[in-house]
Amino acid sequence: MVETSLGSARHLPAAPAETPPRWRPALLFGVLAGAVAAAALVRVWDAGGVQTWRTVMVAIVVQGVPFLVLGTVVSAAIGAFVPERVFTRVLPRNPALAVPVAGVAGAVLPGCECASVPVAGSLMRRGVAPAAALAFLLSAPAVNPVVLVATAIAFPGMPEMVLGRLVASLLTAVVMGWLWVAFGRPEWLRLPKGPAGHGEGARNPLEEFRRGLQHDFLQAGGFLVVGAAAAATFNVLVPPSVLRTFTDQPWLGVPVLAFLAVILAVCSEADAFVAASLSGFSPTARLAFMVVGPMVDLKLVALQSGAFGRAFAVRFSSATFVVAVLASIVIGGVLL
Amino acid sequence: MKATVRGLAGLAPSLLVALVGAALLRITVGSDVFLQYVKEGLRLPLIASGLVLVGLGIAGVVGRLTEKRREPVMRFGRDAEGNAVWLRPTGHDTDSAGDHGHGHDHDHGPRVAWLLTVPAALLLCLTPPPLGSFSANRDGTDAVVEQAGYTQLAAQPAPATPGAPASVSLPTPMSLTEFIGRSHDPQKSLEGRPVRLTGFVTAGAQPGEWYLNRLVVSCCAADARRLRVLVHATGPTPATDSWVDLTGVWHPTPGTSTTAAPRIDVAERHAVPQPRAPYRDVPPSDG
Repeated sequence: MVETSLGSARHLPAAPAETPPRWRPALLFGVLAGAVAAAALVRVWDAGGVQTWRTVMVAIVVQGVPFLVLGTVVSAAIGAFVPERVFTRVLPRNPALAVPVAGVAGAVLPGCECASVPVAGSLMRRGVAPAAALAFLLSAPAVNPVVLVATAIAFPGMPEMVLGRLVASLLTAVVMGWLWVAFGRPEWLRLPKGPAGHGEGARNPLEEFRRGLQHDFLQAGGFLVVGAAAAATFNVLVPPSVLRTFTDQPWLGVPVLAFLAVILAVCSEADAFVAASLSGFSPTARLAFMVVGPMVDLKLVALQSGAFGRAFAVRFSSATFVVAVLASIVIGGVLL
Repeated sequence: MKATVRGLAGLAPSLLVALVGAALLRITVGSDVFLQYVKEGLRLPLIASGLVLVGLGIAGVVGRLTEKRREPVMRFGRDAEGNAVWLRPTGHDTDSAGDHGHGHDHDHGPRVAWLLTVPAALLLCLTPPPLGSFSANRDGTDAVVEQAGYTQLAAQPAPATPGAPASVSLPTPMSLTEFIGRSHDPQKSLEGRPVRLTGFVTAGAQPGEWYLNRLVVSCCAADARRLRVLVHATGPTPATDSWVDLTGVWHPTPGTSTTAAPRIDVAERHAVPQPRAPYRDVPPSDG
């Protein structure tokens, strides 16, 4: 709303409608650069690498969008229809206690990681402690029933792999939540503001749902494309045979597969099958691949920086990476 | 005039949502294009999300148009200090007090969302083809093939017609997975048996030999793994990336490593269209 008093003295000027002149050269330069890039693209359009890049990028987006729609529908529904007092009643008041509860509650949402980012943002908007919402964000894609069944199918006759994944992922989520309680600073986290965040009194909840859904989907969808493009670039540029050189050193295997999980950005329903196909690596290294993958990867960092700000995404993802690798080594050492 | 332009710009996010939905419906309804990227099981989720997005986009457009018509020009209200003021609704009243973080444009929704037009336009107009020779030629992506667990092959396939002479052995249709698995079989179940395989072609290292490939995916095309068989055949090598159906006999190559592609000596072959589901490794079915 732009406020206009009856007298014109307090009239707030509207935003200038014309493009400021200093933007014009930049605009012209942008158009020129775009034209050059388009011309270059036409030349290499059908080269094998570019063709593969297009297919892989589109494939990751197509794979991710249904889960993204599910996640944004849930998050918009939470935002529009669930009253705030529900969360404050269910979750313990003390954030340190709320973290494990939220971690276990992550099992309720069977979706991939694309879905959990908007839901966690919506939880924070509704007054859930950030630490608890973050524990939920990490555990929801990693310990839900669909993922555990997929893991059991991918590793037939190895139930300890399923157990290891469950325990290590839950451990990572809870430890990260507690780390946020202990060391997190509110200024790192740009709290997501909803599209209808400023209360104008009684707005139609259905309309609020529609606006929330559209805003969340567009934002998360854009960052899904960013992540898919990054993963497709790595897929095309880094030859898979490079990985073979690491297979022989067992201690190098864990960090290498954890790093691979970050750049491959496979969704959590499918990463168990990829891990099973990496047969040259030790079971602990493959466990690290499956624990890190749903919590830290390129598209997830992109989605998180969209929802919570870049300062947060970089700190949170690097800390999660370290914790997840340590948890996999400990749990893998005990169980596998 | 300006208000009309701004009103139309406010429609853009809804149109973008509908465009993504339309792209999803285009590759799933009455079309199998989505099988070039993901697995069969995702069809219903894709159709459902396509419908949700198209509906959401239409609801946004309709809501926006009717809201424009109903909207009061000025409203009476109070400002922060409690003075009586006229409140003038702006073009996009939901975002004007919203956040000022990066990636946001208040009149057009999140700016990063425009990237969604790239995959949507690709799916609608320039459908990317399934993965082919570029992926199959990369070493280190071999699929893991179970080496056991196949049933005993019938001693001799039943002749197609009762009158046919029993001595003519019909080729056994086989998936590449099964062929590669059986090539490691200690019982040599492939020995001397004509088999039929389907796959796409990539060039080999020497003249007279090429590879027959399949790519299999566990989730989407990003995790494609290859299956391949080394083909020895007379005649010219078929065009790279073309699909062929061939009949031949396994040629044991003792001394090579177990990860090397098994070899087949081909008697006859013919070109076939690309299968409906390029990433599903099934035996050739038609006669």
